[in-house]
Amino acid sequence: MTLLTRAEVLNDLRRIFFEDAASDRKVAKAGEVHHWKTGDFTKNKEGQWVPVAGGKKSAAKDTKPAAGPAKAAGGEIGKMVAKAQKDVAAMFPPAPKEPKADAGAAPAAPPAAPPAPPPAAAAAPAEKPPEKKAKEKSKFFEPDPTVDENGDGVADSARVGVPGMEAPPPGGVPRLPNLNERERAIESKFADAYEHNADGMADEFLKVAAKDNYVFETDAAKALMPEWTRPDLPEDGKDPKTGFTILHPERAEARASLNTAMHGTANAIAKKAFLKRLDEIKDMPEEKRKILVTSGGVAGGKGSALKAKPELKSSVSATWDAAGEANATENPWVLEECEKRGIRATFLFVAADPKATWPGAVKRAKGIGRMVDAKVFADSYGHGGKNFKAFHDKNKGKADFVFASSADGKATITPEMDPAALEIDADELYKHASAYMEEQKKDLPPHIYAGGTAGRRIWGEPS
Amino acid sequence: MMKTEAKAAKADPAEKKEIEKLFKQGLEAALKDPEKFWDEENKRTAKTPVSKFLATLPMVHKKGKGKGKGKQESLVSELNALLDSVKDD
Repeated sequence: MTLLTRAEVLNDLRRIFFEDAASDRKVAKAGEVHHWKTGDFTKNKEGQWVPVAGGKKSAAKDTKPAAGPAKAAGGEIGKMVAKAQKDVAAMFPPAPKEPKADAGAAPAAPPAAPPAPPPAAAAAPAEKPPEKKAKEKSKFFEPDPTVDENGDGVADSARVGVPGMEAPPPGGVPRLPNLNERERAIESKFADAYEHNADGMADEFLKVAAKDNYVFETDAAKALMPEWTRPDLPEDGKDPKTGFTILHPERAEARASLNTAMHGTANAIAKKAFLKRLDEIKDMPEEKRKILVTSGGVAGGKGSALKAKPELKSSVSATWDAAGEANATENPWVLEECEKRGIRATFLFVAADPKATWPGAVKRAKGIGRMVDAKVFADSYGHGGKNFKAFHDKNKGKADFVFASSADGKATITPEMDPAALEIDADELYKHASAYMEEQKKDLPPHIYAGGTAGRRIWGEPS
Repeated sequence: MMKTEAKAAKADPAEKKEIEKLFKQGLEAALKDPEKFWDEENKRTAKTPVSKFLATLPMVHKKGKGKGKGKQESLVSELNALLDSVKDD
């Protein structure tokens, strides 16, 4: 019997642990297919995940093992174990299964059981479907922010967030198109976790909101994600002159880069938690059954106004502090949920000059990290005012409305909506906001520029 | 009946006036010193506990970011060093 030398043992160890695993990269290659809850996605040459047409996956390049034991868990060691299990499984092949009636496409390897696509799609070849068909089958959320299918005068959905009248579940969190790999990973992690633990996460956020007089704000729900708060990093600094926080650069980078990708799930959590609070309020005495709702464009000052006057939020049992990005599409939902529970709602709207607030939004990002994309910013003014006006006109007898304006840099309460808020063209404003990003690019941290212009990749360049 | 319901849905005029007053004051303060109120978001976020449902999942890191050598690279280096040390065995 020959004993191995130490060198041979070490060489074997290196081969077993590292070289065998070297081909298994964590970063997916172009053409690979990945299974998310919402379907199968393949990575294109630009590094973006695009849906596999018809939900059908390309078995040849599938990242999941086609047969044998489940996916390897626990890194390299886990992969080794999985490989060994697979080898053992190969030595003892299972009894042949009865072929399925429609399993014509599958050769030896059984599919990894994605939800069954429609029969027509299942029969189609997986390689290269026609472009048009791929678009039709897209599972991404790409609403027209002006469409009002239910005819209530208010658009049904904004580009980001969940549809105005919905608080999923039921239904899943919408997934945005054209995200880059990191954004998609973040979006999927947040959304998948919420879809599996909706009540639990809404309860967690309800506790967060309770500490702030039950103010429900979509952006606040993003803090449930460790990638947003980054508890692994050292604490933030403090500006000795102003006393304001100086964010750790990696925290700042994450909040600017990931804001858009996280918005949908954060919105779903905030809405679900808000409903839980409304359920609590419905059993309160009548004088406590009242809430506030704010609307207005991004960085228009509504949230800051609430913070500046805490008496406002403490005068009611809850506040829905809508994100400007929602384009005031949630108001019919809020009113409907309040009516069901006998709760009074007061809707506040702030009109502002977006050409003044966009530089403010960019400046704000330098302080808080969170950066709103120029496209959704433009929508918030171009569509938000019109949506709110239609909502007011239809429901002025059912709720209270307060109109404010900060358009000329001065706060005023107006009897009606500032007419200028209805004149804003979303496309023109997008062009303006996008051009501003170019002007400022050389002076901006790259992550703020990236966060403010992500919409070009997601929804397209200004026309 | 409908009238009663509609009336109950509206605030007392004095209450509405109070909301208007407070909101105007809040907006004035926000316009005067926006940084002060932006910073409150930082403070609030710093106090918010991470979801227990998300805390157990692996963190998604920025592509290409690494704190020096990864675990695997370090182990390879260690093995190489050991191999060098036993070349003559």
